[in-house]
Amino acid sequence: MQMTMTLKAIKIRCQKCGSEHFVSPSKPGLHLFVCQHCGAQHAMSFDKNLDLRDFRLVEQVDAMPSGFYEISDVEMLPARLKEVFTKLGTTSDERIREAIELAKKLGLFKVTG
Amino acid sequence: MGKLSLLKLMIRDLPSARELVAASREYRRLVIYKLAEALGPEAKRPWHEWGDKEFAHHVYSVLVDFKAAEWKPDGSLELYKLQPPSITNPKVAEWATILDRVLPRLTDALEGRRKYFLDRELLIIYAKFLDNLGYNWWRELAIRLTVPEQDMKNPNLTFVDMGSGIGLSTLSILKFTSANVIAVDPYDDNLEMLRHYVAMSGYKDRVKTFKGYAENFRLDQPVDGAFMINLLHWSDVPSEVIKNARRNVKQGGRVYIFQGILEDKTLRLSFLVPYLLGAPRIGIRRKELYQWIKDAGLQVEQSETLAGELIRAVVP
Repeated sequence: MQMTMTLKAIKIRCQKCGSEHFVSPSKPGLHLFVCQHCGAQHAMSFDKNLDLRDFRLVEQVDAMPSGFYEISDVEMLPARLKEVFTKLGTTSDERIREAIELAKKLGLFKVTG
Repeated sequence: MGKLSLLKLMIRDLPSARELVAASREYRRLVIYKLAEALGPEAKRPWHEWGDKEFAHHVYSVLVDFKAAEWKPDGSLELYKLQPPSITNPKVAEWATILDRVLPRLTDALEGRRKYFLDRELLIIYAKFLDNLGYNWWRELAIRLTVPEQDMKNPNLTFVDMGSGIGLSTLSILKFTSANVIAVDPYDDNLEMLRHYVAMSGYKDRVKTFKGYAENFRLDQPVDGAFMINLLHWSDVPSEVIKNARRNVKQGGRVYIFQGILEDKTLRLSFLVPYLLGAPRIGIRRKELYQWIKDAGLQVEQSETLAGELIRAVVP
């Protein structure tokens, strides 16, 4: 029997240039979105129902190429990074920015769209 | 674990003592099970036929010590069939993930082909090994048990964190003291990650970084204290690390050494991971550790045995 999986398409608006995009998360937790139009980087968090819980502009000096990124290996997320990423809504932009930098250094993001 | 140290911890902090005992038990079962599984049919090979004989003997010995195998006359092992362990403690569960990633490298290591943790593939395992709930908890416990209260509260002190790596030891010092910290490590990548960790945790203003080897770095001015947290097995010359701590600490200042030792059964297992990640030594022996401290001219003020030697020594 063939299984089909429906991905949820979520409409987001770049908080810098206002352009609209659709993203399709496949798992809960932290994701990054880098706008195709202006390159602005956003952190976003999805709950277990893949509903968007937090979406905010987190610009960095070395922004990633445009795209939609997820944590490639959630099990290997170091404990302190996990703590920041799971409490995204209550964490300052600076802490999130630093946590994203660390995750980037560790090669933990993979582009999914 | 030292019975007296454990008793003292029970009096001071019963929940921590209970957790330490229960978690250590689960941790041992987990590591032995995973280690036996990773070795599998290779156990039929005598230890002295492996490229890294010392490591092979260590691995085989711990399996025998923990009753997971028995020696055969030719130096090979007969592995027993083990039941998968039941893991209930989240601090231990994280180790399962680490072991699953690092133990596939066991046979390469036994052959004498280890990679260093700065290798891209190993970096994430190294980070998870240093930053997991259990290890973070132990570091914090060690600091709480050994740093005098007046030193914890004094914002005018400066400590050096020797071999800080990516900053997890530094974070523990920052969390439980009010001191400024100079983090010393030889690798730019480590120090860069440390700066991100520190900024992420809100301690940016209290930390400076210094690139150097633990054996020979020299600060501009001696500081009030030095920490080395499970550092010595990462050094080719651990005795020099301790001597250099003394050189960088003021007279009357303190040197804190939190170090796993081979005499502790649980820690004999713990050394597997750093060794597989490239540490030059399989472990440290208690006797040599205290000899190095003596040779460096340090005076031991306090010493506990709680999942490692927790030592506070003073510079006379």
